[in-house]
Amino acid sequence: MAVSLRPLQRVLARWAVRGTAVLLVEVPGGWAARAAVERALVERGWRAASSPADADAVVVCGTPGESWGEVLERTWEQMPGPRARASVSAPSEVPGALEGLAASLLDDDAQRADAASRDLVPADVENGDDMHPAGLDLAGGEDDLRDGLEMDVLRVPLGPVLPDWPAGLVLRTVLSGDVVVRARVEVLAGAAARRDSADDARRGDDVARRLDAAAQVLRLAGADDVAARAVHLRDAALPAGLRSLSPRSAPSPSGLRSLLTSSRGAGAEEAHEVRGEAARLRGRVERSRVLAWALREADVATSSPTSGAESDAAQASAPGDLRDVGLDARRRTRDDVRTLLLGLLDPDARDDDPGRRTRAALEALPERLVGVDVVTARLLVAALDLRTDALGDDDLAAFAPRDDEDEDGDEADGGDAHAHHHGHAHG
Amino acid sequence: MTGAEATSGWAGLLAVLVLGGVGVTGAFAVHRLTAVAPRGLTAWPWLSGWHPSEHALSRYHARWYPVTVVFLAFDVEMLFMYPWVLVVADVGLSAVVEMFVFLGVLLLGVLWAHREGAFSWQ
Repeated sequence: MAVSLRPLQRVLARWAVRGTAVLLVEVPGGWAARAAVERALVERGWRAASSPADADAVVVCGTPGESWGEVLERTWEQMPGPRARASVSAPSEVPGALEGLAASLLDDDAQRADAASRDLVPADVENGDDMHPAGLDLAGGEDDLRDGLEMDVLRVPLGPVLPDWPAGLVLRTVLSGDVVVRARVEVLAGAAARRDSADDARRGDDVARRLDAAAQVLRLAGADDVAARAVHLRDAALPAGLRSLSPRSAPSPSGLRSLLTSSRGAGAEEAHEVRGEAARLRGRVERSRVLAWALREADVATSSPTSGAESDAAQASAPGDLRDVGLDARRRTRDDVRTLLLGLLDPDARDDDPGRRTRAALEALPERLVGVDVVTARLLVAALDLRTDALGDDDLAAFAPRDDEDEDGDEADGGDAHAHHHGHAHG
Repeated sequence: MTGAEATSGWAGLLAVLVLGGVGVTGAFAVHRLTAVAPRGLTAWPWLSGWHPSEHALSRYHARWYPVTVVFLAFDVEMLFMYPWVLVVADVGLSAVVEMFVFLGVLLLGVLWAHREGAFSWQ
């Protein structure tokens, strides 16, 4: 019986591999590799996965440091079979790695052996009871940031394995509903020996990286077509050294692909062309009513343009309606996102010291996110264009991962929000 | 003639059922026989690579007061308007005035619910 099924299994596997979903994990320093994998996915007709359950394969871009071990292992455990993994640290390794993934997914015997040898139910899932489903404690209430209704408070880490998210960034948030009450920033660094390779990547690719960040914001905002345009531009803007992947000769609907292939070598002309296209894209984003609506440009009238931080602090510490603080923070942040997005698409903008800028942004991030909902927080993080690979050793030490046990220590960080207590519920 | 038509109708239905049943069973059988692990994988909720620290059984508050007021304002309003429609022509102007005073009172509730954010989902 099993023998006769072989041809059917092979046909199904080959059919499935044609649309392989690949989960991308970007380690600090793996930017160029990630961009190359994304390009190769498009060329193969594969797609990027949004989570391990959605993925057939996982590709780690860059060289992870020790702090990544647990995260990568858990990601692998959560992938249903057939599954395959690869790791690339340079664009030139990408075609071989993807070939390897396809071969591994097609190797039916190995996939069956893998499925037979693993626990299909994780070892740490307990039976639990009503108060401890699967052995987990129930979420508890906490004095509420919004309106005193004491919604359950959840500790939700965002990153590092998250699409459209800076490499290695972990944002340990405490959520009340969908609103961030507190947040703590950690960075999972790349392997130390590899970190200097980020330096050459940093030299000529600033335009490309800002276009990449813009594409992430646009994807998160749901503007997939504009995002795809930004990705095309990013690839055209990549320095030739990072573009060692040869684009296949397959015809592409976009004229930019031909731009990418034809003007190869004509560096200055090409850069000029990319700038012009970026400016055009910026105009398109600026004019788009849907994007303006999605980023709630019109709602910002409440916050005064001049006294940004001061008035925010004053509002946040006023004992008034905390729900309004939340709504206000959300509106303000969405407006920031739009401003940042237009800045990313500005071809004349310069980013002289991304390391210092990223450190400052990371330090300000926890306070900035209080009262902001998760979606807006993700938009903001993407729009900040955080370059975790540009951080120095002392920066990384400042954001080193800590054990979860000192979660209580967070109270000091987010104490401001916590101090407000609505004793009375509605009614 | 009509009997034959009825029979062919039933035959068609039977064919659809049989074909559908064979199709569904076949797809299920192919899945059972070809999947590397037909039982499927049990996994923790995906938290960007981390283990969940608590279970979110009741994350969102339903906000009963605004919900109740919105229900009263729209549903009960309709409830009273059905019988009112039947008599309004006979009773005349006073019935119209009374109904709109009633609607006005309910509208206050809607305004309150609006102020409480019952209509702004986020």
